[in-house]
Amino acid sequence: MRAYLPSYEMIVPQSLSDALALLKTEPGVWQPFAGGTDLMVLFESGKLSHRKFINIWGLSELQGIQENETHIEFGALTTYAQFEKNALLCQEFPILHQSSLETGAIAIQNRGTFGGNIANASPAADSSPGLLVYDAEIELISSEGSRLVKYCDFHLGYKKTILLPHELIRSIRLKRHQNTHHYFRKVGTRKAQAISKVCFAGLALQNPGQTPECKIALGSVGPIPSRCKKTEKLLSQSFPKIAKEKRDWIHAACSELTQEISPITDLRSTQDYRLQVSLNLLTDFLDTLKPSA
Amino acid sequence: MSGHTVRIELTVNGQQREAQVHPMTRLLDVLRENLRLTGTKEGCGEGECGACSIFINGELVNSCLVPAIQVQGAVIQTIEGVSSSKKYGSKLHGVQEAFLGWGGAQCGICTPGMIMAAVHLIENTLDPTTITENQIRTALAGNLCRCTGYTKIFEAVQKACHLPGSKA
Amino acid sequence: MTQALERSDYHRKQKRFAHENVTSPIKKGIGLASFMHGSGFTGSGEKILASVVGVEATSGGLVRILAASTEIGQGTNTIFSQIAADTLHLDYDSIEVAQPDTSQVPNSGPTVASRTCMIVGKLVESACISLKQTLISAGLLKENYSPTEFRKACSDYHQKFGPLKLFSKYQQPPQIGWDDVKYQGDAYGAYAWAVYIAEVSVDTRTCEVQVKDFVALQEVGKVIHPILAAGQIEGGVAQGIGYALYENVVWKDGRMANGQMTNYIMPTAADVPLIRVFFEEVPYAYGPAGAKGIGELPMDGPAPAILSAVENALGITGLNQIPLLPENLMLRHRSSR
Repeated sequence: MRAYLPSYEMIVPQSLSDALALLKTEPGVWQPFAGGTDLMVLFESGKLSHRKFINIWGLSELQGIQENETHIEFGALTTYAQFEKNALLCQEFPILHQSSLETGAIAIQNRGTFGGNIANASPAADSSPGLLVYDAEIELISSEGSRLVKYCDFHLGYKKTILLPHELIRSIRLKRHQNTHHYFRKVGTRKAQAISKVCFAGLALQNPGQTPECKIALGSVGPIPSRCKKTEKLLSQSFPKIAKEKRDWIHAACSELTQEISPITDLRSTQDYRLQVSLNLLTDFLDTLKPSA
Repeated sequence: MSGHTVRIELTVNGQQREAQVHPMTRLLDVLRENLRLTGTKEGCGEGECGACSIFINGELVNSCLVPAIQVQGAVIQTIEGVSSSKKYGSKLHGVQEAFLGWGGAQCGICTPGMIMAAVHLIENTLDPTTITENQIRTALAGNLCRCTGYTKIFEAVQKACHLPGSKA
Repeated sequence: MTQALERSDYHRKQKRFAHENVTSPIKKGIGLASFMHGSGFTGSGEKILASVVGVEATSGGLVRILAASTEIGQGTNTIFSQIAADTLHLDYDSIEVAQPDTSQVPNSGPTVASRTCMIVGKLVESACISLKQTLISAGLLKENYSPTEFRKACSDYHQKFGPLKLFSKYQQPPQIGWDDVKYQGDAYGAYAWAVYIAEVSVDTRTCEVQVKDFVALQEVGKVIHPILAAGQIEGGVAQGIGYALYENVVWKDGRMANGQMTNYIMPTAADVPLIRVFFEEVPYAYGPAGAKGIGELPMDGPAPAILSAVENALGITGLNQIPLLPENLMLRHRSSR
């Protein structure tokens, strides 16, 4: 444990409104602290730049899972384990179910939260690709009110987000949908307790009478997790009608994806590997789709 | 700079305990240093190895990642609380019996965490005799071991699933 | 070899995989490594160390082993007690292993070099034989005796002669020899021999390699304790799997850049299959009850067996670097298609 405890401070607000009031009066001073699975690791290695923390774990207003006809909404403090225990969420959003099961291991899943994963804004976040393809919306709350933002717009650059210093993530909203194909693959250094080298989510709608639609999102291949909108556009515009067209379609999509992502070489993996794997996973996903005719 | 401490009250292994600590003291340190429950081990201090595993309100958690202030009023169970009696050698949990009988431990540093993870699996399964090898593997994936290669640990947990001493 | 091939179903699997691999993106392969590892220090090492083990008996007949070997969970204390109990025809529970405090125990050498069982254990055995002989020669014990008679003999000895403590010193077996000048001769007194077979699956989309089955078969002289011996092999094989596939060290300006548990990648329980261990015994006369050493042996086999299996899975040759990371395999796999 490399941190010198007396240099740090952590306070416990009694309610969400108390927390928001403090964040408003002293913006940028108090770092919200939820399950601790990211912040404590930095803390113990002496790499945590923040000194003051506001404990939000336990704020009931940030918990709970609710569904209605059109949406399912879950609080920012929903842990991966809580998601896994919710049958409806798992059934309708299997990509997020799978990504939750592959985050760390059970002990991490009991403490890691979706809000924390989003706010931490790592390009390697396991939940991001799924949230992106499911077009998640994030409710941001402050003492002035709340705003609903598209998760696709949340990340601005490496570890930079649209979250304002006096705001907290209150909940995540997922629209219930008709998608038929859910594809997720996290490629890590080992089968558990691994940060991803490439994280791929693919979603497709293939129902008779409906125009086929594909969504692709990738993590760990750029400064932010992102939807590959150019590739998606190409996929939709030239969706194969017959089997013969499929090979060229996949080939074109791969070329487009190559332009759209910017993988790097780092401690975990290489640029070349990440690119190749992204293309292979895209191909694998597209192979699961049938020509539309 | 703040050297202020807070009084944390919590239930540990069925007993009311308290500690006066800095709010960000790791729960691992509260257990080991303040409460002298040294069964829980520090393997990495990063939440990777699982040697510090305990239960908070029945959930398996890495205690090196939990600041003390967050367990105010919580119910904690550590390895010391797994057997139903504090007396050495009497009334061990089925998992502990199985580890002893089937070579589940070598150096022992991962053992408290492994046992917590195994107990967590068994006690959260309605009929432990149905637990598969893959389920055991998933349950223990957050607990690293260097000595055993996991094989005897899997065997011990499989045996434990059938022992009467494993029933909650 | 025959046993290992049988236990791993080598030939049938190889055939089946060759057929399945044609259409599957996940290629399976099986590979073999045969190897040996010497027990004890190399060359004149043991002669120079001249290890000593002591054994003493209290007046109550409790036997204490005095050795410098360290118990770290591998089972030193257990096997020493077994060897002593067996040699002295006593219960396991009447043997005690003293804490290896240098003020109390003689220099038995370090706990390394796969020597604790074979070299030091042999000294435990011979020290116990001397203890037995001392009591018999003093006329206090017959050749065949019961534990009660042994205890009485110890009590009598203490009354008549005082403390009962004997030492045994390493003697190089007569048939082995090492020339320190020419660097020739017998590098080791004995070798453990092994055939390891690894079955892998390679996901060609990501080049991730998973070990699906592992058979570890070795000839070790004599298995003193089946659970402990298997534990050594299983642990070593898991370490070998890490060595082969996961444990990359990244160097930056002469320093290890990935020295944390989060980025130095050790296999988890989810990455290692059940390791199937089998033993053959061809007793070695200079090991206790015929036992040889096994501590380092299991590290040698996994990497070559696994690389061989990956070559088999992908139909390539020439893999010779470890860890075989997916990044490296991807480059190789692409260039071979």
